[in-house]
Amino acid sequence: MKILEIKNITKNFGGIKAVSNVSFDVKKGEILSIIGPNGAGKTTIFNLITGFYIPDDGKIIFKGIDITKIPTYKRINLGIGRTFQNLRLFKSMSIFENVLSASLVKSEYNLLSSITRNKNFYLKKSEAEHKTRKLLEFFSLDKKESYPAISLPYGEQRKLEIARALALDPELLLVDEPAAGMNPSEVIDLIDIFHKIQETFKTTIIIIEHHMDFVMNISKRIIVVDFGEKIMEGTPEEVKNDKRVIEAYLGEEFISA
Amino acid sequence: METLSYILQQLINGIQLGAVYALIALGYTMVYGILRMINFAHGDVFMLGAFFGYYLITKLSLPVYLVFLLAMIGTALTAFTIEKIAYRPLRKKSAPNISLLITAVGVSLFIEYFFSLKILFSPDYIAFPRPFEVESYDLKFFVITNIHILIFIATFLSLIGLYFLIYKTRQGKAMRALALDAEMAKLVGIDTERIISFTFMLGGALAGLGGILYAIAYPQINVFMGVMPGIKSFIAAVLGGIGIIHGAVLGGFIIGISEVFVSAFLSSTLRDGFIFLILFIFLLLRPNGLFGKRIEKV
Amino acid sequence: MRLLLEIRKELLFSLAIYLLLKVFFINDIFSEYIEQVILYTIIIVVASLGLNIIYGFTGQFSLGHAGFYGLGAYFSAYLTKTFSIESGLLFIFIILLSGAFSAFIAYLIGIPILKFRDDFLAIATLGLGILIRNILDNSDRFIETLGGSRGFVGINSLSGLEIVFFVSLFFILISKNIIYSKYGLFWRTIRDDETASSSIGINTTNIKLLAFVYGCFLAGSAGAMYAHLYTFLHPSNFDFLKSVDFLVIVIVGGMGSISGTIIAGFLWVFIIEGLRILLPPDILELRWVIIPVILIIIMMWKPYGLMIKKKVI
Repeated sequence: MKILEIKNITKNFGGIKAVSNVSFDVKKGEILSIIGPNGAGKTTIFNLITGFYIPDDGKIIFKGIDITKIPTYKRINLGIGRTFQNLRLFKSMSIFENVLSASLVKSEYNLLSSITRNKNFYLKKSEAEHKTRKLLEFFSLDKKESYPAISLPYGEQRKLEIARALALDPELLLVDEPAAGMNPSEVIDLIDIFHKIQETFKTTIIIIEHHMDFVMNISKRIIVVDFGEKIMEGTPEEVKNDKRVIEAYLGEEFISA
Repeated sequence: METLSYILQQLINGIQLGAVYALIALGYTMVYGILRMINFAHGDVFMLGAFFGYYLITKLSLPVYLVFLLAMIGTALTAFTIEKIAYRPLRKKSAPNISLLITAVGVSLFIEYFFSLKILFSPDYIAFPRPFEVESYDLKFFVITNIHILIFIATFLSLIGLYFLIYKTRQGKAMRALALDAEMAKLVGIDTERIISFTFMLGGALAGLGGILYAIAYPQINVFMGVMPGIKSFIAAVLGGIGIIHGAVLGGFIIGISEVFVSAFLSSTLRDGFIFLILFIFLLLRPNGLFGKRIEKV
Repeated sequence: MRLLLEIRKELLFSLAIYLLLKVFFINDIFSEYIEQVILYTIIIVVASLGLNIIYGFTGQFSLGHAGFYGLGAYFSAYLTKTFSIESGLLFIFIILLSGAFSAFIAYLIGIPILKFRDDFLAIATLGLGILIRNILDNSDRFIETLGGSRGFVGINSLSGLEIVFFVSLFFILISKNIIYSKYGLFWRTIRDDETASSSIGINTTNIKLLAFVYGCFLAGSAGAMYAHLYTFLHPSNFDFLKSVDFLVIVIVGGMGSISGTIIAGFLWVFIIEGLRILLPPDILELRWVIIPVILIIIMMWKPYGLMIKKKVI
């Protein structure tokens, strides 16, 4: 079953085609990777899916709903979570609050019950706190929950951002370069975490990544983009052996990764 | 016929006011272009230009061209000092924009109230002595004075000078590089701090020129005289697309002419309110200004 | 019940302060001038809390807060004068109504201008403040009673200790409950990173608008109490410098701190009023030379604002 359908999307920035006529489907439950050299348009695809940009052309269908033009928060509330390439945590807040803020987004109480503090308020509040604790335990961040988010080492900040996205109970999770800046043992750790996420939360995941070992290990299907265009789609084996891919991208980066 | 000549006359007056706004707006737009900050104290530099002019004329009775030159040097140095003392330390700490803005508001209030102390300029209005007699020439449809002509010529010459500086000199190239990409400018070996100082001085000199011209045209000066022209000129810079040189000039003329027309045909007490109304409506329709282009990056 | 339990400390503390003030007021220990200053301070705290919610919590910089304070003041004075309101209960209703009036204007204006960020929002709100001041200056052209640049005279004196104290306490407690709820948390996420906030599904437009509207509600309500404390209004009471006053209180008290705003508000008014008594009028003008210097020093010392760390929820 398809959870996401990208149909011929195009996005121009002042005459430069950042994404050009890209189409692909995402099946429910899979981990799909998007690879490609820097500036190939990978992050732009995420920004189009989450509504930070609106495509100039094409359609984005999520769970059968056309989301091409609806605002970001509505898409997120339909069940999409994401992380950012350059970490966007809430810097003045604690680790706990970072995840709690996302847990509270779907919490159903209104302004009046915040003021009067009725039963529902406390109920919803403790639900969200419970969920937040669970997630922090899952990522082994619970011991440090009251620390400021920015006090964490880089690798754990990445995990925290994933935890925050998961607090939305997303059916589709978009992860932008999760392994960037991590050392090899952290990367192995991360592969484990993604498998665990998929088992525990049954989330469909799209990963943008440079790290080839990581990609080959984690997804059965890979999409390669270059200069804003999709140049191929296939299994890790197929991608590895494809001439166009080697020319466009792997030639320079395969070995270094 | 009479209405037409009245309109033309107002247009001439509007262009005169607009020229002064354009001179101030240039300073805002250049500083914003390279630092992405609103130099809120810029209107007060304009005011100081008028006061320097006043003292140079009354106390030293210098020839006109020296008055202009020295006052402009004075405001350039003032702008340089403000940047060095108040803004640079904050930039070194990579402070958020708003902290810089709050500091700039602080500098602005400080200048106004410091100079309004009785031992200095005092808060009162002072009559500005024009360095020459006013002569008017009746051109049938409208009257033009030598003040109009002075302002038009001075503004025109300084615009040509500015364009030459920005597009033909090394300093200008460095400024443009800095505006385009600060990191890259540093990498290619541009002394960014020096260029920033230079930009402030350039803006300061133009504002100083505007200050004297304004005082000659409307010969009443006061320490708070820079507040409204300052804000309006900033609006002019926004209107033209902030960071864009010719945008600031055009914006200045639009604001100046609109202001004169609103005063003449609608209500002189409500004119400031109208200017802001123009700003709101304009920003809603074209948030990046007339010539502005911006791509937001996530 | 649980609500009362949660705020029992604040309530007891406030009651103690109220009783103390009451004793002082009844026995005329303070001069009438000082009594007025105390009530004025409480009013300033409420308005500053409004700005703290807009700027300190939500990060939406406003230089036009005094405008909304003024709108509430004029609106309330017009109502009490037109309908010759003298009863306390009706006055409380008028206070809320005036807050709602400022909030409504804030809502209409907030929809377009909250699209701007940082500097541009600052200039837009500054412009708004000047626009409101400009309208108040010319208000006698539309409604004679408002007095325009001559000022609005003959307002009933209705802001007594009880009304000012308990209405303000009510506002502060409500604000606290909103701040320590998901709404307050969302305000802070927007201050930290608006893009990330929308990436977790927060409708940032609405949440920003809520902060702006609520903050202006507090400003308008405070304005209503102010109008009926001094019984005279003039447009110059609501100019740019007044907005800077609020801003200084928020910055000195700590962005995103309720208690900080209360303490800073008291310090501020007492220092200013104190200087008025201590310094001869000639030197009084030094006030506005010193204040900006303080502001600049704070910014250099802590460019991210004096932030007080506190656990939320």
